[in-house]
Amino acid sequence: MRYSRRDFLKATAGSGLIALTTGSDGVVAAFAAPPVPIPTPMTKETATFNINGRNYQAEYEARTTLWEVIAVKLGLTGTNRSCNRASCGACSVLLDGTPFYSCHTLAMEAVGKKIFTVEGLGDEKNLHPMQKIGYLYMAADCGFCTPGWEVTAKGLLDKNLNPSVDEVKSALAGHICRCAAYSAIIRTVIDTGKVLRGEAEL
Amino acid sequence: MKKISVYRPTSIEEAIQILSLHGTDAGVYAGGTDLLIRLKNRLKQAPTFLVDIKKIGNLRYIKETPQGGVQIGALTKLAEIAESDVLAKKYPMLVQAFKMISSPELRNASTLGGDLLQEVWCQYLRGAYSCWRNGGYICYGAIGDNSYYHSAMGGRLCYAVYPGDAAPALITLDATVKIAGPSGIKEMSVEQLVPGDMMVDGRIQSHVVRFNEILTEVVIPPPNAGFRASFEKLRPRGVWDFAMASAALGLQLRDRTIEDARVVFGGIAGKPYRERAVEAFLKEKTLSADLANQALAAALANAAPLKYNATKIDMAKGLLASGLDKLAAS
Ligand code: SF4
Ligand code: FES
Ligand code: FES
Repeated sequence: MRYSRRDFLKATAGSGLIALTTGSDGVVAAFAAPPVPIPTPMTKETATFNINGRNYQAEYEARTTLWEVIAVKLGLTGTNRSCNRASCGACSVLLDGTPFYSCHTLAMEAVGKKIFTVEGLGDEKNLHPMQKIGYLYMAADCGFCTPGWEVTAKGLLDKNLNPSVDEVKSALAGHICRCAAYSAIIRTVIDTGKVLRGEAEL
Repeated sequence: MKKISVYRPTSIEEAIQILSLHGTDAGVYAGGTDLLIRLKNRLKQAPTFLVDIKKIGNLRYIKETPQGGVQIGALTKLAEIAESDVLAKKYPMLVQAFKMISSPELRNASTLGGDLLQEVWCQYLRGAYSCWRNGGYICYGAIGDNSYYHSAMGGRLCYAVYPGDAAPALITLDATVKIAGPSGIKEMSVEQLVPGDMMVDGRIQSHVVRFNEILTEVVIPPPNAGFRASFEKLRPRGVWDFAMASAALGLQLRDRTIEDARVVFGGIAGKPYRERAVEAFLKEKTLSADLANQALAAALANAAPLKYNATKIDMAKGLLASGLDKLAAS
């Protein structure tokens, strides 16, 4: 990339105007005497997290994300964290039935809500139909994105047992699969709906 | 992530007191989708004290006013707006625009107020470069890679584009906002709320909400009979990405004659760019198939693209044309 002098002037605003200033009365305008005492802010606290129907105690800081509580503090390592910036969907969990990115949700937001992670779906001995079908269709290649979309798809099927392909696509739009198993993922969700409705056998 | 402390006030007055106490070290925390990225990347401009306003009970609602307009609380989630039946009936364009914001999971987390007041997504700022917005004295966007996140309509200090979709759509509907501050409630139009690249309380920001003020409500006036609107957005992927360019159009029609028009472009300038030349051109014209071509001649005459983003202007014009075509065909 080559920079011209003109570009540089733009960058330093040597040729630009000075931006308008509002609020020239200073940055910190503290009230002389606050009418009510201001409580101390929270930096660290302990709370109960209800994950897949079980209660767990965890201590967390104000800045701790929900994923850090679930996977690091409580050791429920099924939920994967990939991008840590709300751009891939691998870390999705349900809070009261609605999907959220757990890497981009502060832990304190989940206190008092019902958290659902992939561990709630099924385990090695007792697979959920979605996991069995996903296995047959090879909907998981490396498996990194799998816990995320499975949880979101569970949230969709809980509300709508008979989603169309377009509905599945738009519900799972916030998930990236680096192995590009997309068509198998969509077939899995559609067919899981069929099995759960009792229209197909596993 | 940066170390933070969180206050959870239960009333607006208390929240404003806390914000006043800490000055620019404090920031409002609601959905957090924009804020958490700034905290994770440890931007200098990210707050240390968060004021969580979600414990304030009455800021999350969509309700009809007696006159037939709609009031939306600032804490209403984007998903709630995108799925609202009331809004879909009265302002279909608004719902269409909100369905195109980000990804489903992020729409469940982000709030209307947060979308309007979000920080710009310039990759240099988000990467914690020390630029104008982050306490420095240079704009890397103006000289570096400015193909996506930077203004093609000129700038003053910061060249980043205003990224939101809610604001262009709401400006087209002549919406206003209410802002609570230490001295009471202010009202202004959405257009006045986000003038772009402003120095407020010693910081550069896209909006005029001061450090001790809180956006509480958006009010949309009742829809007139004969009002048609469309929202077009162009982005690299169908989810997550911000608009390379977007165009919100609103036409007030009498039969096929345009009585009044709103044309607002997003993603091309430091603010939602209201193109008054096209609005004036469209007045008293008849809505027809070849109107789009004539309107394009009047559009974006004072474009000033940077080195790599001239395509934004072509995209914006294309979106204007396809929006007009759609409205003409409907
Ligand atoms: S465009 Fe704005 S945010 Fe980006 S580097 Fe320049 S001053 Fe910083
Ligand atoms: S890890 Fe949370 S969205 Fe990617
Ligand atoms: S299976 Fe590898 S990322 Fe989806």
